[in-house]
Amino acid sequence: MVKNFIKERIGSIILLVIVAAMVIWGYVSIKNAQKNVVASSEVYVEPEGNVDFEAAGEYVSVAKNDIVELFYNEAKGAIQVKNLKNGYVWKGIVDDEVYDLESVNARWTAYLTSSISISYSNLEKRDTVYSPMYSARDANILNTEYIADGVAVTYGFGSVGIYVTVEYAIDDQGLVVRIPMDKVREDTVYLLNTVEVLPFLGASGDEIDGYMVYPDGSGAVTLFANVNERPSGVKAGMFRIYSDKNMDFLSLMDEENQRRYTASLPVIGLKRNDNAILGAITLGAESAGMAVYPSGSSNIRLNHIGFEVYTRNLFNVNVSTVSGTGGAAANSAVVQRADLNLIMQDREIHYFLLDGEDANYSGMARRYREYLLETGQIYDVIPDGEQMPLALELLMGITKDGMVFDEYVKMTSFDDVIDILEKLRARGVTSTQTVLTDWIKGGLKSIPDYWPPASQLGGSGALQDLDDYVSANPGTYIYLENQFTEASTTGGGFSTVDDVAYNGLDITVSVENFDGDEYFLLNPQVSYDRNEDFLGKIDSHTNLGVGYYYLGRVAYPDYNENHPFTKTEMANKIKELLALTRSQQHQVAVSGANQYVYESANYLYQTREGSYGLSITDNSIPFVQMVLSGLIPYSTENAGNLSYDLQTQKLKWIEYGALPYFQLTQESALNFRESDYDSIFSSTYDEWEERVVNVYDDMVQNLQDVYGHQMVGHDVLGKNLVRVEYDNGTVIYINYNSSERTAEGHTVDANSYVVVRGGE
Amino acid sequence: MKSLKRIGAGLLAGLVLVMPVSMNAYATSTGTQNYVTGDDSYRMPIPQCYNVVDTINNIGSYEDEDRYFKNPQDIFVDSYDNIYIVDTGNDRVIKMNSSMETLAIFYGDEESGKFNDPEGIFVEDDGDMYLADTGNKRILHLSPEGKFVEQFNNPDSELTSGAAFNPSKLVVSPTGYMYVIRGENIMAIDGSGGFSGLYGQTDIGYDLTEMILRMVASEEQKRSIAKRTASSYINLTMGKDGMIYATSMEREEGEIKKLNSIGTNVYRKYKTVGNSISNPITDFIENKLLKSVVASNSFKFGEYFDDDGMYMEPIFRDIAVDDDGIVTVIEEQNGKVYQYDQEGNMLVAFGGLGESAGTFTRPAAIDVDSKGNLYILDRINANVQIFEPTEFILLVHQATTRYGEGDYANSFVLWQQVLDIDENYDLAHVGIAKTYYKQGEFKLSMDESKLVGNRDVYTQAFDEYSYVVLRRHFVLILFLALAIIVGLYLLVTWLIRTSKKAYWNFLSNKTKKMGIIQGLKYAFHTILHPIDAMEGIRYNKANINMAVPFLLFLIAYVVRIAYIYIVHFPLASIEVADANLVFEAVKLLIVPISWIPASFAATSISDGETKFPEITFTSALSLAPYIVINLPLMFLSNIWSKSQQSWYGVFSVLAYIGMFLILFIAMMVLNNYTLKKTIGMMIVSAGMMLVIWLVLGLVYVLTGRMIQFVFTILNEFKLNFL
Repeated sequence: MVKNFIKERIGSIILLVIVAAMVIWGYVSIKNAQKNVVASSEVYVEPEGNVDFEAAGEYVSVAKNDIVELFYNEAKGAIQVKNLKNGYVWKGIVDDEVYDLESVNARWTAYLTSSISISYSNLEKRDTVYSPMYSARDANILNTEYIADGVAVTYGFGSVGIYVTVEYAIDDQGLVVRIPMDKVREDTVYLLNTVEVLPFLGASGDEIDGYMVYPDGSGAVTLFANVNERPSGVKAGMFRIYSDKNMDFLSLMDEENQRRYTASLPVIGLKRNDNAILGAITLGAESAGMAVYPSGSSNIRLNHIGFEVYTRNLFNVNVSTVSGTGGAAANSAVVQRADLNLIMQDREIHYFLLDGEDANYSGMARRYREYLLETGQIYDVIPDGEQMPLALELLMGITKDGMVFDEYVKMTSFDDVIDILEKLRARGVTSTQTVLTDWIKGGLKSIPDYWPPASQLGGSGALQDLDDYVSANPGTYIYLENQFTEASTTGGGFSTVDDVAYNGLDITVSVENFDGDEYFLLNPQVSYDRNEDFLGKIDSHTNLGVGYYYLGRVAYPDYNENHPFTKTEMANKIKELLALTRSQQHQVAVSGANQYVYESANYLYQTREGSYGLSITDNSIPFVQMVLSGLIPYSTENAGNLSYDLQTQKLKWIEYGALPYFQLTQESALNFRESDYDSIFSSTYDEWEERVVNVYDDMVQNLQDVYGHQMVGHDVLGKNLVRVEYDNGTVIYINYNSSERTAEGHTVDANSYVVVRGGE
Repeated sequence: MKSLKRIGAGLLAGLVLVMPVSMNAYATSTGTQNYVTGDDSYRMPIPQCYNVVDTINNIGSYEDEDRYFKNPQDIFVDSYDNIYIVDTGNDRVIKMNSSMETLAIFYGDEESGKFNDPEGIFVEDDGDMYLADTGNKRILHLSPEGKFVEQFNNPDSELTSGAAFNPSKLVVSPTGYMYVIRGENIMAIDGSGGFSGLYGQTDIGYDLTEMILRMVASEEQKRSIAKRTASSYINLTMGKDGMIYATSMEREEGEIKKLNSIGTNVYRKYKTVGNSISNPITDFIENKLLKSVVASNSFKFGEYFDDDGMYMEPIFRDIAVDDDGIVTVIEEQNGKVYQYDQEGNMLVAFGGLGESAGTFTRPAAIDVDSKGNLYILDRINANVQIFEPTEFILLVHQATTRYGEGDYANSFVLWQQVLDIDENYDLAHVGIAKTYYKQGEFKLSMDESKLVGNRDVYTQAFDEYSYVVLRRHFVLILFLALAIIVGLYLLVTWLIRTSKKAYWNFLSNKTKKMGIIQGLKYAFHTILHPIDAMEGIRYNKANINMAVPFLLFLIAYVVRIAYIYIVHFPLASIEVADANLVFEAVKLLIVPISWIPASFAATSISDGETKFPEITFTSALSLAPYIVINLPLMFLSNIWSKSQQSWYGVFSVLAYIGMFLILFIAMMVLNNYTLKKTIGMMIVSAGMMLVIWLVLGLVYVLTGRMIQFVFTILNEFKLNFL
């Protein structure tokens, strides 16, 4: 009887059990979660403040060395720094001398007179957005401790229970600002998200002769004087160091997004008349960004620039709402969630004070390069007297869609590579930096595979020939490009559970394309291990270098339980990975120019040429290139064969001190039609040989003596007219205009350049 | 880039299967990468064609209350390259010289009164301005100094007096007529302000549904049926050739029109509207269900997909035509700029929405100066960006202009220079192919046009070439043709004989099961003697071999796949790379396979005598004509070109008629139905088939939703409590 009863209703019973299990599980989860939350938010009594917001206070000297003196105002928790060389004082906050504080509302007055501002969220009301808090208005607790060479100030935002300690000190470089993370306190349900540090340091009105510099792309400048040239309602520029801070696949990997939001150097600069200041995050730069506010971007007519420190990771999550009806877009909403834990990484910002000859962006680049050299973060890897190389990217093969099977089509075989290099050598191009791309079996479709070479290219025997060719021809560098960052389910060969990156919500960082292929990011430890394995495969080909795609462009935190990484730890892991490759005698090429790859790179390719082109930007400058020039050879992202005008492109390379660069194939570019590579619309070697050799000859003839030298100066002399100076005294004038120009007494033809050597 | 190509197939699959899960495009967009699209929605990257050389953000050092523009809506560049900006939100017109220094600002003088929300301007060569003073419902004629000359109000006419007059965009012809956009028309006004006609209305054609409705409707009902009107015009400009170039919302013939003096569109058209009685069923399918598929596979002005691959219908807010007749339009929603030559070939697409130089928020107006620079006004950014053509696009312009003038030799050289920069530029290959054709180099022309998949030029050259080959090898070809005919004849007669034998063998032995080869022969016999064959099955149903239908399905599928590979390129309906194995199987087999349960369900409740095996067997037999016709057709197509397409179509249709007839006869014979009953049952079965598709679709959608729902719940838990 009972048996039959159960038998007849087995379906309903199973369903009931499942539902019951889900309900119980949900209830327990909620209870657990509530317990956690409540525990941290037991009766919080807001402390009584010790700050009199009205008090003016005064600046007292707290530290002094040969070059700089630090003043501190105990009542305001604000600082000033004096450049002892010329007596110029940099103000940490805005006072009436800088800007008429009466003319703005209370909120703005508070912001302008604040040394830090914070943004925060509420653990209990996660979707509520709060306006930022300012130290000059909202920090009702201010504790000062005098430390060696400076002062440690604790800003207590009592109403939300958040305490941030900032150390202001000086060293032989200038001002140093530190945020020790172990001193950050969160006493309530409020979570500290970001800290804006000295947002108004050196803030300047439109009347000041000066500009702001920021590493948008290769570098960008906003001139104070150009305020009237901009459209109404310009927006501030926001940049994140090395990678976007949003932990989702497209934010990190989408090229357009990378171009828009990322900065490859953790620096900002501001010039004020004959003085300039260069800010650089020297510790924990990975979780930080910079904000550029030109006059008019907010309610005030004041230009200011500063760093923003991200104290915890935030995650954007797409959730679908089942009730939606209007297609995919209407079906989903973006929800932001904060990591419960702070990023426990101390931050340190150096502010270098510059004056006189150095008070410009060239001076900033020179000083920063010096700093990197002193601290062993970059080395000179260009052999003395080496001929300027030609930069090549040879595309080896593509995958074409077939109805039944995708087909790997050979574009350049290993033998073709030797053939091409021989042809070039016969025409005098004896020095080359060549990156071989998409040579892996299965091509692009096989990512994240890193081995073996496609059999269509000639197999491992041909690889050995290539190795022999490099060893027999000094000046020839060949890099096998590989990538250890992106992984797709089509390629396979990795675990979509253990080997991939997770965000703080325990969700994999992934995306699906139209064809249903899912893309993931690899865990940094997994990347490292895979690279190690790859090095094992090529250990008999030590003359061949390795090119690393993505590593110079993307770094992210990873909450993978097996190998968790902060973003800083990932940057360090990348350094380790590259160092390992170097230690096994391989040359290292990296695409992109994020600072952490400098110490191990022999060659940087696809570095940014120019800035994104925001309306606040007045000039694009080769700031990154000025730091790199003469130390590491580099090429830019724009290949000559894809330019609308090769002459203009050549001038750009000259302005940026970059190697002439072409992206070529042995087979016809017609093969690229309707493939993933269709943006390479022109690449056939035979079609291009003549032009490649001509451009190269011209550049070697005129610019060989600046190759391996430092670009010490870059000036925009007029519209489309640029002056570049090298440390050996050589000056180059570049005229992009379609008519002749005269620059400092030198006539420069239309769309051309003139080289003036030292003493000429 | 890649994902866009897949849109067509993806959307089609989406429509068939109604995919419930949202599709994320992981396509790294290249921002302002310039590209062209051909006759499909595929984007082909090309070199940079325009550079932003300047931006007008405000009126400069000229003293005035407002430095900045506010919601500006029109820009005009006169023959001296002076720039006029209609600053609508500030009720003023700003005149600048070519160096972008403000020369004058007009608000309206005492005589004319203040402008009120002006929206459009046209400036004559002598500097006289015609301003659409929209808020004041009038057109103002102003002297070059901005002094009032005359004013045009709503002209008196039966055709116009009923409607409000809100002039916005206008041009003035050299002959003194003023043309003003007015809804679905362009209104012509003569020099004295008199009405001189409505112009350029699109023929809206007949509509079968409407005709039927009107036939059966009562008088009162007829009045309540909304009168169909043509789609509205958006903007217009005057070409150097005296033609009016206009953009509209009209999506049948094409949104961009070039109107001659009597208002006829002489520009490239999607199709000619008005000559045929439209079919409401196919119209519905094309316009409502499959509009994105149609848009992705046929020539369209602009694009019907935004940068995320979502379907959209373009709104070309403004149009500019330069002295060579190069047409440039701006699309408002996606912020793209599209450029066409006189034949309507796309030369470049660039721009887009964004924050960087060269992108827009809401482009509102465009004009071109004497040097070919494009001035594009953005309403929301309230600025003008000036785009200078690069060497590359200038070469393209010259090449297409030379070709248009009939100067083939020069255009050939220019197209080759274009290819030096962009080896893949379609139009250059086509231009070269056309020139080869003109020079009588048909084989070269064929090769060149095949490189870029241009079927029209290929067909022309192929026709000529095959004629040449025929003449040269007449005897040989005649001999070959004879041999093939004789061979085919022998093959067919043998097939007929052997299939007949197989048929009789099957009937004569009621104890022996049908062999597989015998079954295939039986299928061939079905084509020639369907009734006999069906009666045979009914008579000896116990002995049919169920491996045969599956083999037939398989053969038909293999034929289809082989067909895609082998069919002659200009006749191919689908390219190998775009084909999808699963999708092809679904397309081919969905009818015969779903027919099985449908007709079984229908007949079994209506005195039917058939069982599943026979239905499956006959359903597979219905594919026999498809196999028999397509097998030779795919080889034969290789000596046919697009001009014989109609013949080719006839054979394809024959295959489907054969399929239908066999199913029909099968139902009639196997169930012993009368003709009338068979027709009824065919309809019921077809309905049943639709129901099956619907139910399957529904199950698919609901399961998807269910899975999505569960994941959402889990996600929400994670987000809120973990």
